[in-house]
Amino acid sequence: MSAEKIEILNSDRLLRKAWFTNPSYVREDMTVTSFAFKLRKDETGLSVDIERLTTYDKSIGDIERNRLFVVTAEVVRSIGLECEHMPLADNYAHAEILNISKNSHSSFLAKNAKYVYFPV
Amino acid sequence: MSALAQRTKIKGEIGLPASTTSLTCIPDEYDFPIVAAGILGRGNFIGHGSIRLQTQQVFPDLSPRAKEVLFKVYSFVRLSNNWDNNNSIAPNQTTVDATATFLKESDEYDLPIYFTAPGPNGEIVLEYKSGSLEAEVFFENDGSTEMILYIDGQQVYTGIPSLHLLLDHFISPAKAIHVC
Repeated sequence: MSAEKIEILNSDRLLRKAWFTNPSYVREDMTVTSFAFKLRKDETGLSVDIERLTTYDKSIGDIERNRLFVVTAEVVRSIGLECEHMPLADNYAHAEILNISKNSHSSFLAKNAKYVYFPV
Repeated sequence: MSALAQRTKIKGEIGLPASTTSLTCIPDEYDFPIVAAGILGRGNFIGHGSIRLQTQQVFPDLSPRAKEVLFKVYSFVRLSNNWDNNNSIAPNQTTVDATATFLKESDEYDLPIYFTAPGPNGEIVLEYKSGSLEAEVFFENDGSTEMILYIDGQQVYTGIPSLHLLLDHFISPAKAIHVC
């Protein structure tokens, strides 16, 4: 049986982990490059976690090599992108940002992403 | 290297910035049949009349920041696929060379190089930043390129990279042609 999906509200915060080991997607000032929000060739959606359904500890994965950044669903939808809850067997908080098709989309998301101070 | 191919810096009376690579002319003095010279590329001389140009050979040195970034760009050729543990593709030599060439050319105009990173699909980005003015230049692993310009965090241009446009963006942003 598949897990029940929730509606993602505009106020929902979506967590995206970014590679932090050299070479890094994270700049020295802890802002993030657009590559952290770019689809890989075999991806149809960008994996994120819905913040209210998870913990930073679980979402960050490899704490030595990743850092977390957050964008709201409102920001995602403001440029015509969609986000959809897609729970996985081992991660109920999993969602995807859909329709990312060009660098300007990824760049916009990165510019509007906020660093999550974790680990503190 | 022939005299014609030597890299020279224009010491003209035209008051325009000159690149040490985008203009190529004969060292020493030469009566050039121009009234205006652009900075966009070789052979970009137009008009009529005669202006005496004196040239001198210059061996340009990269700025310290550009050297750091260039070193980093060249280091990307040592990456292997899956370098970020998430099925990433390593940049190829052609992409690295294209990035390095653009970086070196842009540094001759003192453009404010800020950061570089490889992407998940073998691409590389060069980022420029000066206050509220920012630019990203993408070099994809299929040879395509793209540039995005920002003012105060807002995208004001998305399109083909151009040193001329990049120069306008950082030196006189009000004059730059911004088309999203």
